[in-house]
Amino acid sequence: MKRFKLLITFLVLVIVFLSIVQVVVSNRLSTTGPLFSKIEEETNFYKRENLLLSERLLTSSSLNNIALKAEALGFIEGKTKFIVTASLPLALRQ
Amino acid sequence: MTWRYRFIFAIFLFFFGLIIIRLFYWQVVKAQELSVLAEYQYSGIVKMLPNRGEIQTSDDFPIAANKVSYLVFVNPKAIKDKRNITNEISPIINVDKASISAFLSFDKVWVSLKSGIDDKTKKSIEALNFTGIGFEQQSSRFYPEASLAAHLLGFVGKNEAGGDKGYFGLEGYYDRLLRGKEGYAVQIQDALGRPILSRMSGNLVKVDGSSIKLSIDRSIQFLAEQKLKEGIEMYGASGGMVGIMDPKTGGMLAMASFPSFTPQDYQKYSEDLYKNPFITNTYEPGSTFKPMVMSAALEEGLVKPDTKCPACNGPVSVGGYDLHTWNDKYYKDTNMIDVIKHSDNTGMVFVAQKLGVDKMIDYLTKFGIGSLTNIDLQGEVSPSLKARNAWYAVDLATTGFGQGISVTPIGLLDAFSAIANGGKRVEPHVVSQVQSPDGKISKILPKTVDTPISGKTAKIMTEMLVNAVNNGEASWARLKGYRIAGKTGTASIPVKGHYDPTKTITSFIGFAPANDPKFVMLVILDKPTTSIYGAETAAPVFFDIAKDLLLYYGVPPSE
Repeated sequence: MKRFKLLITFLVLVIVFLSIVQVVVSNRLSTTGPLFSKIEEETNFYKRENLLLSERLLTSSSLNNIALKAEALGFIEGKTKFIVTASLPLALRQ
Repeated sequence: MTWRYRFIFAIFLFFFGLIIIRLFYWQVVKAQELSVLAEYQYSGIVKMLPNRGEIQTSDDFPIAANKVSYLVFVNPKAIKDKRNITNEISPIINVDKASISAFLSFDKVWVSLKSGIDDKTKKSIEALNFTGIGFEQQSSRFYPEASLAAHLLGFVGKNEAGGDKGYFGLEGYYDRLLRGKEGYAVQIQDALGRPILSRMSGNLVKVDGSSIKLSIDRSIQFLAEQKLKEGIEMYGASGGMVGIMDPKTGGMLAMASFPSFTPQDYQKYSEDLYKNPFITNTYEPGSTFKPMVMSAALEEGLVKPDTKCPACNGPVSVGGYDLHTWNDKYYKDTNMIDVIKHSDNTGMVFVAQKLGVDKMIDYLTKFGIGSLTNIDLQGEVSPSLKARNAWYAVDLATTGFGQGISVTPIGLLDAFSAIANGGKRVEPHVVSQVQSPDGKISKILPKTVDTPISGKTAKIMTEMLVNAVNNGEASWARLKGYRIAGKTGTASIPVKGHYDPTKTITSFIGFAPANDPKFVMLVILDKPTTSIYGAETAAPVFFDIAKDLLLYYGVPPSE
């Protein structure tokens, strides 16, 4: 009988404890909207900045852009090409 | 007294019953309806648009990517000074004042003014500090290399529902793979509309598009386009094409055509320019077709390199037609090596007649002529071969030197690549691998489609083509020190039942280095005006590109 009473008391205490925990957690969670919204805004901001910078990077490193800048700086296409190879064996030299 | 207690008890019981029935009604019978109402009030469905996959060249550079853009909208009911806003905004977003004025007079709270504006334009509008104007972030397609590989890429337009859709080229062919899948998120809000929780609906999770990596080499593509443009200008052509392929894998290294368009502003160009002429245009290939016919005859043992042509000392008459050489020069007892070197039409008539119609059709089919190459681009066409019973003697003869038969440039390049690849014809492709959003990579492996000729025949044909480059009519333009196998082409253009003598399609097809080809290339110029011959127009363009390509690959001269 004593054990039975102890068990009932324990169960009641557990129920009460879990109810308090639920109330506390729900209460905290229900007010996280603004924080969540702020985090989402920041995340979207950085994602947007990444895309914008990526766009600038790709445009700058495009071959078209490099060729235009090179022309503006005075670079020209090399007409003479030099090929350096190992010397031919004696038997093949003329 | 007892009856009073019972009566009061009964009344309480009655009212409790009523309450229970009412509770049952609202919590069970009307549960579904109230749940939906609550969802409307406290949650919203948010559509999650997927990011379109990128298209990258072989050096991982995205030639088709996504950028941030905005849709600018107004709330006409919140705008007081409509005239001022119209005057200020019109030049910024490039929409005429009448249209903006009309939008501002709508009896709505949300009206779209323009979509696809960039960040700079958005900041300019924000700087005006007008109330009632807002922005919605979007994603739009962006091509960092402008018009580079425009025909290969295609462009992204809109479908009937206003969503993004790829058209032509890779954007069209791989549209399903690139566009991904929309998702829907359920967002729960508090009484002030602020989000509390957000979760993705299980079955409708957003899936970004897969990215594709091409075999296209950005540097080679740039080089090919530059040189082709220079060649078109120099030789006064109305257009031109270059296709460069790795003959061992079928991977396209470059594909350029002019006139072209810019995918970013495709609406500004005529629709005729959207199609990729390298896979959609058909033409009579002329002398660039001769290597295939000669290879077939060599493979069958019907001719050998030193076989002499008994009827090549003058024009050949077939089916009532007199067939001439391109320069009306004839070589008595010419051998097969010289037939290719001199691009001798009468010699090729002899070879074609030796082959016969049945073997000709058989080998053309093995070389892929008359079938699609199945390159992974939208819009490929293939003119069919004539049915067996529709071949006349003159058709056999003219096919021998590449007239009276139509091919696409990609079909010709693919067929010729068999000679460069030891007799094996591979399927051409532009995409080398597909990467899913979760990082899984699927490689596209080379596929051998057919083996029209043996390795031995391919070697013999290669030597004949090297000899043609070194000693033929295009030898003046060749690269000294390199063994390049190639053939010129000067094809007459059929006009209303006859051939126009003043206009031609000139071409040069070849591969290098001859012993271990790194690339096979076809250059076509449409109606050049400085000269009608391939040796004087397309051949120099070919060698100009080949010179830089060999340097790019670090191939030293072998001679």
